[in-house]
Amino acid sequence: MKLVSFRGIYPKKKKDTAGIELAQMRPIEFYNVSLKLPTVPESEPCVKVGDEVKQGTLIAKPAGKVGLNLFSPVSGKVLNIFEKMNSTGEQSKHILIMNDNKNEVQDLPDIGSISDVVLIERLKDAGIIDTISGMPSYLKYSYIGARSYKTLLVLLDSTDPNNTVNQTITECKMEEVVNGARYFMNITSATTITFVFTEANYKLATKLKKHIEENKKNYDFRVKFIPNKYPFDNPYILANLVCGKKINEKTSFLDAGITIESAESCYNFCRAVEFNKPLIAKIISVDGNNVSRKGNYIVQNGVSYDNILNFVGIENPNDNSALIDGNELSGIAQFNRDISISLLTDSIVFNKYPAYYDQKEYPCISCGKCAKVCPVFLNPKRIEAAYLDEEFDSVEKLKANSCIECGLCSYVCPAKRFLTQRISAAKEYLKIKKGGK
Amino acid sequence: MENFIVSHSPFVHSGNDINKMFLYISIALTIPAIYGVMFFGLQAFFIILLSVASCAVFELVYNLITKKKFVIEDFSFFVTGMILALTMPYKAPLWIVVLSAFFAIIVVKIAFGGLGRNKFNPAGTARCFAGVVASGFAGEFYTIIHSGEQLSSIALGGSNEIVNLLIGQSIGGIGTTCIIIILLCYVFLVYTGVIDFKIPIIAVLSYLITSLIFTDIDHTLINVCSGSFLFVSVFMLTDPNTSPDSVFGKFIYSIMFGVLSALVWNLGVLGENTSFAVLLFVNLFVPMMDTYLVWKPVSLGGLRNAHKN
Repeated sequence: MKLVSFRGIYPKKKKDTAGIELAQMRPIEFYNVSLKLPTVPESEPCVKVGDEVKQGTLIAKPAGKVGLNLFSPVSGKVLNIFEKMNSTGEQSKHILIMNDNKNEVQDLPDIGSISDVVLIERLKDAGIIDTISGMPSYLKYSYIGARSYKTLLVLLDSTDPNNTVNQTITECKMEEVVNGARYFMNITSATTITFVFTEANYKLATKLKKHIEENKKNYDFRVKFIPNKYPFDNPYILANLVCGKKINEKTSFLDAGITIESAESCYNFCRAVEFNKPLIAKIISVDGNNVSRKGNYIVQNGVSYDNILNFVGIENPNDNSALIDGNELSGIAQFNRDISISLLTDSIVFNKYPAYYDQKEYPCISCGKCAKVCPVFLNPKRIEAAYLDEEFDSVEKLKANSCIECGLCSYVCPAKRFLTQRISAAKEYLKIKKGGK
Repeated sequence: MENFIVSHSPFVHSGNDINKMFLYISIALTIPAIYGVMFFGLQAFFIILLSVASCAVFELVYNLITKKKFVIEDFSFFVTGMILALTMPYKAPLWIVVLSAFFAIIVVKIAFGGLGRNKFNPAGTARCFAGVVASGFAGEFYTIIHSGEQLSSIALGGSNEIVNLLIGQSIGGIGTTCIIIILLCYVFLVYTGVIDFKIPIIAVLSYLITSLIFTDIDHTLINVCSGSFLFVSVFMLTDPNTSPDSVFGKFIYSIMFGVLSALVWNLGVLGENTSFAVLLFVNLFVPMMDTYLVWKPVSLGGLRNAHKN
């Protein structure tokens, strides 16, 4: 039941990190925990310089109503609390913790009986973050009534060219993911869980079905497949593809009664409920043609890109390379290796660029390839032309605000025009204009 | 320490390149050109050479005057020159070729803002221009371009007209005679992703259906294969710049072209010039189609960078 058939592309490249087992990154000496995530307001530190902390000790809590609990990734001593740049380029508070190698662990208190109120409280206490929307998970369920969600989608796959986090977690930690999904179902009023895979992962879906049928009783679930097209794992497109519901400025996810969770959220939730573990690590796919050991790694919060690159190894350190937080098509290029990863970093790409790499632009020949590939049916070429002519009214009329910045228009453009760049600039302009009114 | 490259996303490219596209079209165009030179002789070769050379010179002169850098990797002047030459009859006077090249490059292309801004197909419009100008001055040119209706009877040698047309044993433009070669070019261009496969097919089908109102099936097939209808459908109608973006627009555009070509061919007096004149007319509607016959954007308002950070 599709309302519209979205476009998008099948990524040409085979996913290099697929099928590689999860590996734990080795401990390091200094952890720099950023108190600000890209989409969450900054938290307030609740430790002082010089305090001894254990692994799992609460080190920061929400400053206002909205925020995230953050926990120490390691047992050690708080050395400093200071301002530093984070992965989005903003200055934010960081807590520097030195590892004392004692490996002392502090867990959350036992949960007791399992009811929806307790579970939502646990989401908040354990600092679970929704890796799809980038907001703290408890916000989605507590303030606005978890019971209005009638459909629970669990995304166990990813269509990103570089990101294989969800499918690797499903492969390696299937029991936890399945249980976590059940806890999410208990919170909402959904009666069944819909697991979403891409068409490339039939095998994994069969394995999951077999696992549930053998080990679980009264487990109501179904499996849906979406085309393995980028960017179909975007929540808005996903809701439309799987449930046939249109999400836009008039209808929110809450109105449509759809909630989407990722395999990683389920895994973290299960660990928080069953093992009382707070969220202190992120699972990251490390990819790129200048990386020696590609794969999926469990990385503690507060580890910097430099630590990860040293751990996975760089093939040719002297080549010109780009360090990308995110995937190759929509990530953010970093210019500093010393920045800490956030709990929302899904993948890191370290690509070397050929010597002839250039960004020479040619005139648009109106081939229409950008409009053909746009997943939200925009006409990038016309938006770009209107932006360059400074006709911001027509930019707005052409719905530049709907752009999800997936990067496909620039990817296919034969004239190599900077379409994504200009459209995001146009969006920025519209935002400022609206704010000024 | 590495040298980090910092740029805006995306960091990869599909490898689909504007220069590659022009290169593929150029390769496709050389095949009918070689056949034309073999069939019509050295005079055809001179016309092709002159046309391409004058296109290059006009673009160069313009770039010198406006102090722009001359982009040699841009094959667009070559494509325009080739298409213009291939649609000319081999007896065309050389001054007409130079004048048409001037018209194509300076008037149709550069005066509208250069590559990608022209509203009409440069070669097609220049060919129309040549037909109009030369009809008064050059006797031989006149007879050939206006003998379109008799083309099928001019098909040389043998009794089987349609076979002669297919293998190019007929009179017409230098590169437009051999139907088999044009079909090969179509397959090549579709395979390399340069042109849209739908446009020529729809144009030919709508031509056939419309033409059946006037004549029987044999004459219809001969009409399609003679003249430059197929050449125009494959090489000029599919020009990305002067064809609509949306699928629906493409349908209407190619149906318009096919139907009007059949009507003008059967009812009008333009003869060999039919396809070029109709192309010019259909190109007029493309900006309008690009404005109204487009997909409605899916509104995902209030959504900023929802797809990861």
